[in-house]
Parts: sequence; structure tokens; C-alpha cells
Amino acid sequence: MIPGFLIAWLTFPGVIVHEMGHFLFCRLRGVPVLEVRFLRLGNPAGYVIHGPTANFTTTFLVCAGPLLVNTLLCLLICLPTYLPMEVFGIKHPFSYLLLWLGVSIGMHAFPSTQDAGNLWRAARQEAARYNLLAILSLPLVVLIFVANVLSFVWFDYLYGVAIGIGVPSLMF
Amino acid sequence: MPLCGACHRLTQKYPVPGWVKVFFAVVAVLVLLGAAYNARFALAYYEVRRGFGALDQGDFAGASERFRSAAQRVPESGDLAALAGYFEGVELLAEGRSAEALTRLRGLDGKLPPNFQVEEVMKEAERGAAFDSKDYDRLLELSLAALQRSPGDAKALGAVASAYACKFAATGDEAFQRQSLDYLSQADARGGQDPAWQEYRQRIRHRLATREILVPAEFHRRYPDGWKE
Repeated sequence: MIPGFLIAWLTFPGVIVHEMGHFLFCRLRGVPVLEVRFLRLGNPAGYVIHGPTANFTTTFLVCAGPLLVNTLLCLLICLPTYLPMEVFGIKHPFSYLLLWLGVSIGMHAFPSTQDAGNLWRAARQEAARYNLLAILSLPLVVLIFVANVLSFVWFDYLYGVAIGIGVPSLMF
Repeated sequence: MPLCGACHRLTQKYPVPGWVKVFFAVVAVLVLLGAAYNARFALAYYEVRRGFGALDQGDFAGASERFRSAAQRVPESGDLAALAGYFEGVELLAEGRSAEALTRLRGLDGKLPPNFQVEEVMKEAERGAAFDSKDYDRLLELSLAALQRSPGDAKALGAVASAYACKFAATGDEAFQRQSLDYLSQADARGGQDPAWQEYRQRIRHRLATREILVPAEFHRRYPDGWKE
């Protein structure tokens, strides 16, 4: 069993990008940010404390921001390494560096259970008012909970690999 | 949550630490470097795809050019070099430059999938090189070996007939002429009306009739409408 803080530090770019995902959407949606730790020793390895959100869309974006930002950045970084490594069989150290960076970022894409809990409460309230985004986000929240549980069996790492290597393999 | 004006502004413009800005700047540089460094692989990949597309349309020269270009973009790829070398070799062979084709094809066996039939193409180049160097004994030997590998194949039978026709043209020995005609009739029975076979057959018949050995280009230059016995 590898301690969580060690994994977080070995994949620290993902932690920073994850918190930036929350932070960025707070900024974009005008949500007050009270405190941010992009990376620290301890559990959690990073966090964003923000004020209340004005509506469900903002709650959704702030909570699910890392899923979008980390996933896209993982793909953007890993995609160029796919052709040399997998198609042409050229293993360059720079490609490994990019792969580590990309997969590290990808594996921190899933919001925490606390984020998922916040989103779940807000989604249930709004779903009762027939808010389409809230209804659609319910299965996503379930997925986030499942992903957090399965992180004990490296699901977060597998997700990073799937986005960084699996998606490009479908493209080429 | 009531906040004073200064605190509200702070929460709206919470400062991003300098090291985080540096981190994202480094990530941005790595993304750009990654894209720049790997762009040639993407270009080579699309060249290879266009090469196979050209092959599907029967544009052999176009395909060969694409594979060559791809290999130049990624010189460290042995597979691309082999692919480019193969098509260059086949192109040389089609142009009748068999010895050069042979040089280009040597060493490619085992580097390409079996469906490329590298060994077969090399043997054809060897036969072409023997013909070009007027080594008709070697030509006959290679043609008989090819026929042994593909017994009853019209092209292989024709190649043996062609080699015997060369021997006849070079020596005047009528035994070779009879051998050539014998293989020619066997090939005829299998080749049918295939235009490629008919053209090849015509050159062999011309060789037997005139005892003059012409390379295909010269034959077509002299008899653009075909040779009549």
C-alpha cells in the first residue's frame, strides 16, 4: 500500500492543476475565493475554500472544474507523445517526461468526495425543480463517488492512462 | 456572507502565488515544445496514410514518394526506412533498373510483414539484374527456381520460356528454342488473354523469331502497336 501523500507528491502537477480547475471556475463565475492551497504537505494535498455559489450551473462548474481541466490538459500533453512512442516505436526521454506530466494531471481529474457531496446535495434540490443540468449531473456525481472509492485500486491512475494513452490510440 | 469592500475585492481577485504561475508557464512551455518536437511524427504519419491511400488508387510512384518523405521526416525509424526502401526498390524494378533495385531491397527481408513478399520481389530483381548483365545461365537458374516455388504459375512458366529464349538468342542452340516454346505453350494455357501476359508473350516470341534480345522499353519504342510474327 503506497501512502496517499506520496502518490500526491509523485504526481504533484495533477494536484496543482486540480486546484486550479476549482479556482479558475470560481474566478470565471465570480465566486469569492477565501483560501487556496495549490500544494502542501498533508491531507488533502491541496484545496480551495470558496464562498456560496449563486446558482446550480456555477456549483456544477466549480465542483466539476478539475474533471474538465485535468482531462483536457492530460490529453493535450499526452497526445503528441503517442505517435513517436506507439506508432513509430521511438522512446525519447522527453516523451516519457510528457507522459508522466500528462498522466499525473489526468489521474487527479476526479473531484473529491467532498466536492461530489456538495454537488449531490445541490443537484438533488435542483433536479426536483426539473433543472436539466442537475438531472444530468446526478449520474456524474455517482461516477465521481465510484471513482473515489475505486481509487484504492488505482482507478484514478487508470483514468489518467486511459485519457493520456487510450484516447490517442482511438484517434490514430 | 457579509464582507467589507476590501475583503470582497480580495476574494474576487485572490492572488495566485508566483510559483504556481511559474509552474503553469513551465507546463505551457512543455506543451509547446512537445507539439513542436513531435510535429514531424504527425506529418510522417499523415504521409504514410496518404502513401497507402495512393497505393489503393494504384498511384505507385505517388505512394513511393510519400513513404520516402515520411522516412526523411523520421530518419530514426527503421520501419519507415524499410517501407521507403521497399517501395523505392519496387519502383526501380518497374523502371527496369534491376541491379539498383536489388541493392535497395537487400537487407529488408524480415523487416516488413510477410504480405510485402520481400523475398519474391528480391528474386525478381535478381532475375532482372541477370537479364541486364546478359548472364542468361543465371537467369535460367533463377527462373527455374521460381517455377519450382510456384509450379504451374503462368508468370513463372513465362519467365522460364523467356530465359530459354535468351539462351537461344545468345547461342543459336535450337534445343533452347524448343524448351522455350514448350514452356511458352504451358504458360499460354494458363495465362489466357491477360493483357500483361500477352505483352510478355509477344516479347518472347519476337526474341525466338529474331534472336534479338530487347529490353521492354526498346521493344515498345520499336513496336508501339505490338510486334507481328
